[in-house]
Amino acid sequence: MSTTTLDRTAVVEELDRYVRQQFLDGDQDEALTPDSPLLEWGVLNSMNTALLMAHVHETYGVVIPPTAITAKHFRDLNSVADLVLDLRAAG
Amino acid sequence: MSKTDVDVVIVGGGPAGSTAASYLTRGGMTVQVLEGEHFPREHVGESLVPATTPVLHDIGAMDKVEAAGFPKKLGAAWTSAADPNIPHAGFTGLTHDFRAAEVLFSERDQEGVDRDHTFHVDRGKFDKLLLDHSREQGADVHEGTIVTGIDFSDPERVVVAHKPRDGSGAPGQTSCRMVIDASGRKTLLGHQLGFKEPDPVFDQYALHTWFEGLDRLALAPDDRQADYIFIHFLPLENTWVWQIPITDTITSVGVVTQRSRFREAAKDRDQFFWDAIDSRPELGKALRDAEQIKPFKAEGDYSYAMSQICGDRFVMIGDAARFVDPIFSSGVSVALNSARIACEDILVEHAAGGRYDKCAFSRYEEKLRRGVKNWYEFISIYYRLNILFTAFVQDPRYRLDVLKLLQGDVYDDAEPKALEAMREIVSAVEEDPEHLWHPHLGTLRAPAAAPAF
Repeated sequence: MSTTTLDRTAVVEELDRYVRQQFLDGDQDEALTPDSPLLEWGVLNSMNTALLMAHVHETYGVVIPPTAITAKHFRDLNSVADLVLDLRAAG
Repeated sequence: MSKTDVDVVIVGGGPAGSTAASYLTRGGMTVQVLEGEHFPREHVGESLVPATTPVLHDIGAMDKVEAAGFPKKLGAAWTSAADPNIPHAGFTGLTHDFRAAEVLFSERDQEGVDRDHTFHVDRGKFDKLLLDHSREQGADVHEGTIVTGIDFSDPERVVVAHKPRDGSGAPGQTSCRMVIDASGRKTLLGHQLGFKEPDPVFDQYALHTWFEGLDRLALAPDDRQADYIFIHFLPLENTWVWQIPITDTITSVGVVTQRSRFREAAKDRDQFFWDAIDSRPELGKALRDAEQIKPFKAEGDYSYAMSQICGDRFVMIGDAARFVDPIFSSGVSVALNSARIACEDILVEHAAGGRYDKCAFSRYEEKLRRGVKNWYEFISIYYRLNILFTAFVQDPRYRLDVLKLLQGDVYDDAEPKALEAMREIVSAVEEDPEHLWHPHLGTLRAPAAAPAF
């Protein structure tokens, strides 16, 4: 597992790619941005966050503890990226 | 010691009783099995877990089971209604990915398990296979014979009174050194000796039947899963559906719910079943496109425990000792493994020329209590986690630990790792109303001071 620092922009882009592909059927619609409210819009819900967590684990080696599955951390792509970076830094 | 007709009388010829009979006869004891029905007969509990495999090997029945043509069970899959598509600003959230909600038994090595599959079984066929097998091993099996009473008054023997079910012959009795109660949910000794206690939390109720021609793939996203057991969550509290392949064309389908829900609905069985099924329209459609080939059968009063599972000159095994809930297909596995563990103690006592006092079964008691306690807790947490369970299953940190439980490997660990982790998560979610999973917590919850069953 690489120990290089993650680039925030790259993380947001990867999350965007994954969310579009996995939960939006590959929709390339412009409307999704890093601060689109994912939970409000039903793009993320309590079930598929688990899938996102698995993807984050596979891609970045970061384990998101179930206790962190709160609205705050999954509000939008920015929040998720912040969570990933924080956890990665905490090692 | 006074002479007895046989060493052991086994009440009940279902999987627990016939397995015990095989173990004991192979160990050199004389055994009489008294079974009230004539086999084959129908019975609920059609899906096995891999923990049955070592037992089938032990008693020499594995080849017969393999040759019988039962559908092979490679794993289990869960489906949920998940969250419906919520259209907003041009997005429709699609959440179909059941990849997260399946397990393959072969993902984890299990001691004594040499193959990647177990089976779904027509219990009529399976139970008869095992009972006939025990006859071949030397057990004296009497079908159509019901036990009317068990007399423990003589400290050196037990006398079992019985009679033909259809009144076609005179009543009789058999004396023995000890009795195994394998009477299933009839819980003969549990009733006779007053040990039976209803479960304080679970009061489950099941309605089930068989369908011919059900398109099993209609609900499975992946061809490989066609012969899995499916557990379909319904968007109704504590209610789910089982889908179990019985043959290439026949599928068993059952709705499991709380008894109070069924009572409150005040509908007949038909109505209740279809209303429940229709809460997931895709399920309703698939079932209506198939043909129901049996009337609905109801199972209730099956959530109970025994304050004692052994005593001087008796042990209870299988459902006669304990049943909780069908959710993890533990029933037949508990039947076979409780028979295995009890017979280990019995054969030791036999070799020692002992009197089969309660202390002779202390190892059995400890192991079975432990195994059942683990099942019970697993089941309780499962109902609490509800569909969140699938998220747990697909978490790589816990997956193998959960799989261990699903495989039925529950008798040796005092504290299974998966349970500890699940418990912590449930607590964390319960305590945080902001947690995304908080609204999904199920309501069936074991009391903090869980009964010491």
